[in-house]
Amino acid sequence: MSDAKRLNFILAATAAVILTVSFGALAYTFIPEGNPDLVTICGTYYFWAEIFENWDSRAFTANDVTYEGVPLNAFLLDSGLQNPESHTYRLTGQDHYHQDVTWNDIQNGYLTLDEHRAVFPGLSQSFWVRDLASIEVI
Amino acid sequence: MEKMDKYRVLAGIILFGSLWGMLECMLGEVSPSWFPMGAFLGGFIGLGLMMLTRRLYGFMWMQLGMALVAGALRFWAPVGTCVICSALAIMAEGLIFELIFNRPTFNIHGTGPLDLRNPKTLAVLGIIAGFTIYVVGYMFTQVMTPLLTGAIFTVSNFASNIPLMVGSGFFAAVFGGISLPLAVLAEQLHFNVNTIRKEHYYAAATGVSAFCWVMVFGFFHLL
Repeated sequence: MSDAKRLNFILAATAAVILTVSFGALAYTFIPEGNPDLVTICGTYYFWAEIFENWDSRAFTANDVTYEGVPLNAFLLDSGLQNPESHTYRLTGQDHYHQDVTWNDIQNGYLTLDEHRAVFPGLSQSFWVRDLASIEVI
Repeated sequence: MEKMDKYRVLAGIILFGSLWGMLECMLGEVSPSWFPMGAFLGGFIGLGLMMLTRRLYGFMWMQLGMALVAGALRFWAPVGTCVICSALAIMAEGLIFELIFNRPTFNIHGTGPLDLRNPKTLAVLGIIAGFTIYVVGYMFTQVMTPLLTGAIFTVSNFASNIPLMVGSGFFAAVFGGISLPLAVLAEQLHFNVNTIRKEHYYAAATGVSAFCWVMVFGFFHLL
């Protein structure tokens, strides 16, 4: 096999592997984690449809945008979690995106109706989790 | 490839880096949420501009300079809360480009048996480069953001987000497979930088670069 053919073969094989693996990973992120109609917070289920009817929401600003949401700490206290300040929390989205935050962050966070998102005004946007599926103690 | 005047290269770095930086700042603001704009910016705009300048100027490490200029301009657009992370990610993309395309095997000006200038080879090379540049930039952001913002960084958290990073790289790979052949082969995008009269070249480079910086500062700090 000539040098040019060998190079083309290696490049084509590498590109095929990249496309296959990345498409597989993309498909995996489309398989929703949990039930899209509810969010699990420390073992307690909350239906999205009921959250914004039963809980008081308030307006807040993050990144110069005004949102409306329910404070996150209200759910954690409602779930009956003991010593919430001593834990670290893992937020997971429907697309399997994870972020870990502290109780201090949770106290400043909100659940928004828009995109069912956990928003933390004091944290980088990469810590905001869209289509939130669960919050668990780790 | 004829020898290039270093001052023309410097003006090219500022010109194309400013264009790239402005597009990074502005397109993110106007894109719909369903469109993979990050992958488009890395795989199409970033890779395409870097390869186009490699074709026009034939100067190694120029593209890292462009990425530094683009990152510096991105630093002044307050999109997201870790602006410095986005700026550093663009610079990392420039470095990855240099590491790939400074290899003699991937020299687009090469002739003979290793001449890469055919659409199929460039498309597969674009897939590889677009994916690598975007995913490395994404991973870089995921590591740097918690470190620079004082938040929690854990390896397990990073590892659990790898499918998301690799998955979004699919779009960057597709965009790269389109942009690289376009940047190298499109006749409409080619001109001989050395033959442009000095006064025209520097005036145009200064004017376009200034326009990009004024646009970003005006849009984000004055409006």
